[in-house]
Amino acid sequence: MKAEQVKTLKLPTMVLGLDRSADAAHLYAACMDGGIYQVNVSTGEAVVLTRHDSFASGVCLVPETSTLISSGYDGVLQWYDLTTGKTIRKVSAHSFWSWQSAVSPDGKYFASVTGQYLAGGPKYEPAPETEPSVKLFDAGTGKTLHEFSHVPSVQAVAFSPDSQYLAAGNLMGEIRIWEVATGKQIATVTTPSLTSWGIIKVHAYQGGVYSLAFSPDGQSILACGIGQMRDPNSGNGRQTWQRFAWRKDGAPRIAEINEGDAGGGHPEAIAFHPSGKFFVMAGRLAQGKWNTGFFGESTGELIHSLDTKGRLTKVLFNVDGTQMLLAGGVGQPKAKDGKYPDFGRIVVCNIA
Amino acid sequence: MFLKGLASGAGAISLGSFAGLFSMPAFAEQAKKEQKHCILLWLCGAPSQFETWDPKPGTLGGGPFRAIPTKVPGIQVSSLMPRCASIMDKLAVVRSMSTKPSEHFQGINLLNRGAEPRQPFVRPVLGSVLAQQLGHLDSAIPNFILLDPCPEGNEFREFKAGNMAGWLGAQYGPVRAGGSYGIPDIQRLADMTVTDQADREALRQFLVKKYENDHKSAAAGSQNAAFERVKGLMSCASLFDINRLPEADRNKYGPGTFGTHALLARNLVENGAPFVMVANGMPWDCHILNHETHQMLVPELDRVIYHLVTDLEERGLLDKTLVIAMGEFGRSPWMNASHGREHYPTAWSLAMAGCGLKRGVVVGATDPQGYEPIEKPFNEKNLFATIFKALGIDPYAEYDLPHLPTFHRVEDNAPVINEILA
Amino acid sequence: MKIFTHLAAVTAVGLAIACGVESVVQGAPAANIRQQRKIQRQNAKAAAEAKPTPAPAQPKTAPTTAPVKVAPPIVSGRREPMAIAAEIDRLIDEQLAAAKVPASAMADDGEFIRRAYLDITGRVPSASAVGSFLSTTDPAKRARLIDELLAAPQFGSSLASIWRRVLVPPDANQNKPPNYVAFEAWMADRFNENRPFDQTVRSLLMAEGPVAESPQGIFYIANADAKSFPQADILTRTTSQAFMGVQLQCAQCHDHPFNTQWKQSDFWGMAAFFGRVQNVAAGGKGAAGGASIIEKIQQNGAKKGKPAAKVVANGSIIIPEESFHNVGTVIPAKFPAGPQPSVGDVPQLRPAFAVWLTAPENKYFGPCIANRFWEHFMGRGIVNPVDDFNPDNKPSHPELLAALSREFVQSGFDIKHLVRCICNSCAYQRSSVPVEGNKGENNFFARMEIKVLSPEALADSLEVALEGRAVMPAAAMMRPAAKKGGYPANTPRDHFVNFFNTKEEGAEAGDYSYGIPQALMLMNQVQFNNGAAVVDRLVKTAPPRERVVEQLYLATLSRKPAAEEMKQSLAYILKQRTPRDGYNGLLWTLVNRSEFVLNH
Repeated sequence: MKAEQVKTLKLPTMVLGLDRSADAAHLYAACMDGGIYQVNVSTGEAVVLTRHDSFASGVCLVPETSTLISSGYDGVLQWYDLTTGKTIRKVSAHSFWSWQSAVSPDGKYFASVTGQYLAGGPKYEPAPETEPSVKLFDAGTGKTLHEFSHVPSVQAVAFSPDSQYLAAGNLMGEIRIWEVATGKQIATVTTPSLTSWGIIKVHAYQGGVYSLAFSPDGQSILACGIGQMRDPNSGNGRQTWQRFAWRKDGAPRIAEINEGDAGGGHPEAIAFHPSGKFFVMAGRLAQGKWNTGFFGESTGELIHSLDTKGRLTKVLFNVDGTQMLLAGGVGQPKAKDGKYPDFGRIVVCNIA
Repeated sequence: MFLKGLASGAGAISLGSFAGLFSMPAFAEQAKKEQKHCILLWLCGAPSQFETWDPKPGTLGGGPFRAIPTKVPGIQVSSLMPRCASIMDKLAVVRSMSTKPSEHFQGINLLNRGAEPRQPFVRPVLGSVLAQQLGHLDSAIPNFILLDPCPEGNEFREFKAGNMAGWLGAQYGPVRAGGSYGIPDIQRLADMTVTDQADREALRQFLVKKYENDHKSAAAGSQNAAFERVKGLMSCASLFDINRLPEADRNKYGPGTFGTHALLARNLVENGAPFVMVANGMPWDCHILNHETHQMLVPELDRVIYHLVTDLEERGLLDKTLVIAMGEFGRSPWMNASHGREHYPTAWSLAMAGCGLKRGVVVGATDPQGYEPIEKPFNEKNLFATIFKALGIDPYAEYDLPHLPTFHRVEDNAPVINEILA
Repeated sequence: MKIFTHLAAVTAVGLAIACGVESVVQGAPAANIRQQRKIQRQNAKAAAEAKPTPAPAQPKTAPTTAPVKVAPPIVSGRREPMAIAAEIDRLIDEQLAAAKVPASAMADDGEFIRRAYLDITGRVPSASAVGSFLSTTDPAKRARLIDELLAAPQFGSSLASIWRRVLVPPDANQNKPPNYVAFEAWMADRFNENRPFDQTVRSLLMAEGPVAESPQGIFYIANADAKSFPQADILTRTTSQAFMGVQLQCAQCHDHPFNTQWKQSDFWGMAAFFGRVQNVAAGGKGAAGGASIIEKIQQNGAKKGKPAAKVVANGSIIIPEESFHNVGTVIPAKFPAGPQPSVGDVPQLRPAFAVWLTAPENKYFGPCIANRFWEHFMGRGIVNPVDDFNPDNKPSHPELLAALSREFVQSGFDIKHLVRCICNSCAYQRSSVPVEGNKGENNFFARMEIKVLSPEALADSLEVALEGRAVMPAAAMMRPAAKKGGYPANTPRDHFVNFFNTKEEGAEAGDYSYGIPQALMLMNQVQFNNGAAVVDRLVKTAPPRERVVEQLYLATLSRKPAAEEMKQSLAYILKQRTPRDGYNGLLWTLVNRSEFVLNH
């Protein structure tokens, strides 16, 4: 396979969440300025559809509908109708950030995860949650279907391809998986590799699971994040993904990134290609060669890579897998002539 | 040169509240003297002013947290600090600190020493100056206590390994303690009994007399004095034991080590310690994941300042105790590509409360994006002059240092920050 | 108002023991006076027979810097050390007599061997060395010991650590500490090979090339800014203090109305000689470590690094903005209070300065070095402090200083010779115990000054006394371990030395600066409480208890216990559960007393 950057679209501020229309002609971007933007891919034109009171962290187009659901660091979820251009509903879901949100592939469910990391022990173990960390909603009505418990901060959420399972991963590298229909927790995956308790400079935790993706057959799950660091403020942990057979007893780890393939950096996004033949992990590079890595599904080997520069927060593909979209941005520039240059970016790549 | 200061000696000796800790009852009448204290919450690594005292919500680099109103109308702080907001009427905040060094090591030195370095002379850190000014060389409780449960930490570790007391001399250096490492070597060895120790000491006492009597040496006297002080310190080792503090207090301040050590600082001050510096490594250096880290660190700081200030006030100690919360600079108004904020000395904030200060006041302001101070910029010299003035110490006094150039406690007659002085 | 910085003294004095305990050590003043007279007679005889001997041949080692023209030496050779020692005593005694100050008795053999070991090799003698020295009846045994110690490799290493502190000062502003280990090793070799000191100083001042090959270049990396860029002003200050004994930097910012000795043009004129020095690797990774290179520059600015000052044509320097007066003035390279040499457009300015400084006729170099060595051994400079020669700080013994300096220069800057001359004098061999009439200020060298053991000497002495295992890292004061960039990991000894490195700026040899953490360490660390190797050995070999007490006294205090000390020690040992406990406890009392940490 081959991937080629063909276009870079600019938005005023960092893009934290991204979705696309079915034909991928329009993109929906959740940005650090709180705006939910609609971006015309061919012209690059961007309009604000609605706004959050803090960073907008996620946006999902409910499949087969004209409804966008967005989430933000204001803890609010917004339902927006693209045809009428109106906000249908606002739900105050959390008293802290919605770190990430996801819509189920069948369009029925919407999930959002939250949690403030507060000192809960002498070693800065996270304190227990003060509100449910994971919430599951009816994507159509906004009704709360389930509230799930987890240990803050819960930073990543994903549905299985058949929409039957919901996974949420936290700061401590713990992934809990529930059955959507019954609300029962049916599996726990634990990995210490994605979290750092600082030895140098800070005795506290940092990192955790930043993105989750079920395999196309639903049998395994990928988690990614920044590998362990002695100094968590250095940001130079290994770019890490790990794959777990979550349905088996003990949820064993069945694969992880080859040591030689990884540089240092902070992956924030992971997704399977529609073909199921490979998956992509993306995120800021600290040192190494790539910020976007393509990995063979069966071998786990790095088969291709790109360095688009800057931070990447989300990766997704169009329906037939010929196009890949990377959301993120660059470091915030200083003002030029009183104006602040755009620092949000969406990179469009062709996949062949 | 060694004997200079003899004349001023008596005035510097007084008693704290914990009479048993002092070995010279002859000075008991000095107990009336008001003991002043200072607690420095040293936020090493440099916290973000945007997520603490100078929120800029809605601006490009303002970050995700809201600003909330405080008990003082018109003053807002970050939503991560609701408790401090509720006691804003007791705090004094400077929002226009503006300093030069943008690297930790230089910044840490600058904000601890109060002046740029002038090689090869080593200016004492604030703790050493206050130990000399507020402390008593005969007290068992150390005059300069540095609590730092995270011993690692790059530049801060380098700083700690350096010469803190500078030209004041090692007797004004810190006694370091904290976390699992405690005060190094303060405990008697496990297999030594009290009697063993007493026996040895009796023999030692007997054997040193002849030598010291013959030589009449100041050095021998100093060695013996240090030894005596160590014995005193070992006698108050329990004051450093977190597990002996009331559980309710530990729950309020803790459970993180920064909080429990701030509680220890309160306890030490209650027992007469003139200066306690509380650090915890350099956790605030958020080049990556600034907000993700500040969401945890600031609420802890918020609780610590709240409880420290209210507890000191309840105990009648706030008028005599200056609490300072600051780092070596601030953090950038822009975000880098790693969710981080960079070092930023140009415009940053700090907070103080207590002894010699106005209550419920903010001085200085920055532009809407937080790039530059737009009102009353203050540097480290203004800050140190203010700290000394607040504690009743002449900020501009000249050091008596034979063979050294002329140095002052604060150079250049840098003005105090009048707006926050009572 | 003045801020007084020495409140410690109040307590120290307050606690000074003033009770009249029975004399537990039998003093031997009569014997001492006899010995003093004997040594004086020997020295006087040597003086009469003294003839100049040729200066030692210079070692044949490839020069590390480009050859430079050195003025032909005016060396007429060195005289007998005993003759010089006699001259020292004559000049000291004359002033003692004039001031009617009595001299203390001669040090006994125990005091002498401990002092000589500490001063010459930086550590106490082993118990067996003391034992055999005490039992030898050879009348010339002190002179022989001095020679033996000068031949030991520890002579160079202990002097090197002293000079390293002068030349590579610890710096609060530098990001990375310079690799002083390599620097000390270089200095140590030169002291041990007894290279003429003028040569060493020239080699240092003219250092060039990668510091891995020329470690003396670390001098330039240390006297630099935070990023290891050498700084002409810092180099000027260090060089003038170390080798000229003057505080030239007083004139750095402006001329002083009351100090007419130095002008701002003297400071910057000297700085100009250093203006072109560069550390090519500065500012980058490893700047302070092995990768750094000191290199001459052709003219203003090479590609990397930056010159030590703003220099313009003909080696002139521009007074920088930090100064108060005459900012921007162009100052040509000029010797302090001396002429302006014609340097033209030579690529290197340093050689001209180095040659001027170390010339036999230079009026600063010889007296400064002689005085620094005198201070090292006597605890007090003839000009005191040693880095402040100025018209208001006159030498206490001008003729003595002149004599020492003359001998040092004429001997070909022979350091070992200088040490021999000083150490063989009665002045050096006097007791530190004052007698009636010479208490208080020791302005006349009437008695030996008490010196506090340096951190290095304390570490090494503990290793000797405990027979190893004495120096362990102080965990809480750990400095960074090995880093990339070339400087080596700290050893446990480095940790110990750093931990005890508490000396304040301007402190004198007799100022005790170790504080609470240091006292705690000696008091409570396991190796000083139990488990010292020396105790293991003594338990194993199980000599009589009296013998053990004696051994421990010899190992720590370099003397035998007095009768009363023996009695108390044995009583203590008997009270303990096992002899081992008793020996451990006794050793603890020996290490934790002023007599151990002082060189008296």
